[in-house]
Amino acid sequence: MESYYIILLLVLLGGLATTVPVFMALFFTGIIGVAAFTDIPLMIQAQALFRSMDKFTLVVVLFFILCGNVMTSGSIVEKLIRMANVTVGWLSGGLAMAGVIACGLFGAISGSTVATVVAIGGFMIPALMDNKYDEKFATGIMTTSPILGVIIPPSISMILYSMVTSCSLESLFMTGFLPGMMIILAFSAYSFFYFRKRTDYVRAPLPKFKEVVEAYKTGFWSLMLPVIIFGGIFSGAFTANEAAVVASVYAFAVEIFIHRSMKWNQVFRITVNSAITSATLLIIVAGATVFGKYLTLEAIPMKIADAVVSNITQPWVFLLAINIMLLIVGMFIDIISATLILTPIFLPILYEFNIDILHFGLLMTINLGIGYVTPPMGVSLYITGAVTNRDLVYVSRAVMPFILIQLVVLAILTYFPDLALWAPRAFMGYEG
Amino acid sequence: MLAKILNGLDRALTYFEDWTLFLTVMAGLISLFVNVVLRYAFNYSLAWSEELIREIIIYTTFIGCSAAIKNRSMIKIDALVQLIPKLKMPLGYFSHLVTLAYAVLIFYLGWKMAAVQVATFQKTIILEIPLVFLFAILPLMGAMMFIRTIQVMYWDWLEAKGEEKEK
Repeated sequence: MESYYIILLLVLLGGLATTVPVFMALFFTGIIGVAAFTDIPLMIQAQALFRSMDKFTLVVVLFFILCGNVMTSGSIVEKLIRMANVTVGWLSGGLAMAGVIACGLFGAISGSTVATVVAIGGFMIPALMDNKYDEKFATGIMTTSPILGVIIPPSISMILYSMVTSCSLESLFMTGFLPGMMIILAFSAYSFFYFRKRTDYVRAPLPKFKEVVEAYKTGFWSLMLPVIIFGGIFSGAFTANEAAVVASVYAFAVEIFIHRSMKWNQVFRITVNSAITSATLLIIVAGATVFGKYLTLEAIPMKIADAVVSNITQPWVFLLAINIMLLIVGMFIDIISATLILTPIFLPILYEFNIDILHFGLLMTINLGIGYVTPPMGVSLYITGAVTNRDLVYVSRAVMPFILIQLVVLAILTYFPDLALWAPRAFMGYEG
Repeated sequence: MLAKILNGLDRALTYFEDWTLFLTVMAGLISLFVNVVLRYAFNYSLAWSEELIREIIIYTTFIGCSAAIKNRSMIKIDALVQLIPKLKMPLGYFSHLVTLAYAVLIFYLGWKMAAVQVATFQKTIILEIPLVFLFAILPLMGAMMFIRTIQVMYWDWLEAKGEEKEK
């Protein structure tokens, strides 16, 4: 490896470590690389920055964020939780299960973990404690369940992965369905057995038929939203893009005209804030393009691939190494930045080992998602810590059993690619 | 005096950012929604909507960055600050200085690129918008980010001064 690669790596990591915005760290690494070590004019990087945003497919990010924000500020979250609660709340550990299912339903609308932690965790943790669930359990389960936000489609990190690799977004979305279900079931089973023999918490009685009907009736319009997104994409009626647009229009219409919980000036605020959030994500795409341009000019991904292949011969060893590496990366770097920086580097290696591109995208998403709750740096730990007024050590202990469950799910999907690829093969006619 | 200028600029920029972001996102949402309806109802689609969307994405991303600096919602990795809180101040200023450097660089490069478009009279394919208007977003972004960063640095400085007084 030439010595100037090391200098550039230090520029990138140094920039990231010193709280320079991620996209600027990437941009300057790409600029310095081109300016100092090649004869190519700098203009090519300004072109790359501009052209990276000249893509129609990026619009899906903007509208899924918009849809998620409309949900969070309206009254839909509360209705989803209520529906989940009348459905499973009467079982042992039922309220916790309802929280997990609500995270799943919310994940089917929103594409981000942090949004899910704030929307559901902020509501569910106090509710669980009011019903005498132990605080540690409540904190643990509600910090870790929001991983469903990025695993269950739509998922912002999957959208960006599919852009970098140009794989089919709709098929990649499908791979998230099964692991999402596995996590919901495993977490529900865990809380069922955890509370099975215990009587020191408030267990809701079996709801009356009338209550169930009532909850579903008021929640009907909210429940239709995941149906539009899921059903629309998986039946082939909508592309992911169209689903995002239709879902946004639908969410606005429901909140303004049916639930009447949103005023016109809120519409303005939510739209502007969504545009800003989308800008902070997409500008990283632009930064990563500038960085990636330099990488390709120097054929660095190929060089890394050669180095990896000459040292590792078995695909399973490679996957294990990647799992461990991504878990560590996920502790420090958010899922969006990590996906955009690392995917172009891994891509040539996947072909060498004959690893499916969708399979790898799913693994990367779950891996980096777990990074959100891994001590000491996981972002979600700090958010629930602030909600419950507990320090990092406490929250870190609380999440341990749940992280273990997620790691088991990850291991299963890593070594049984057929399981991960079952859904896109069955529903999207994916061949691979 | 400085405070007055900065506050005035802040109001003007916020007004500009908010309204343009709102209008562009709504225009995009409506045109794409109409497109879906047309596709299902009449098997027809608007040729210009795809180009419009691409322009909207360019616009909202680059202008949204300026607003993100004000909101401090730029994505950064603050692991080091959480481990060593003492570094918060110096790293904050370092990060602002890098942002200023970025703003100057993108203003310069963007200006040069826009000048090339003026010289060659290039236009977009369907809507025939002169490309110079699109490329002008880059120097505009540079200038707006520069002002926003100065403003945030000024706020940081005020806050630090306030904390010292309390002690």
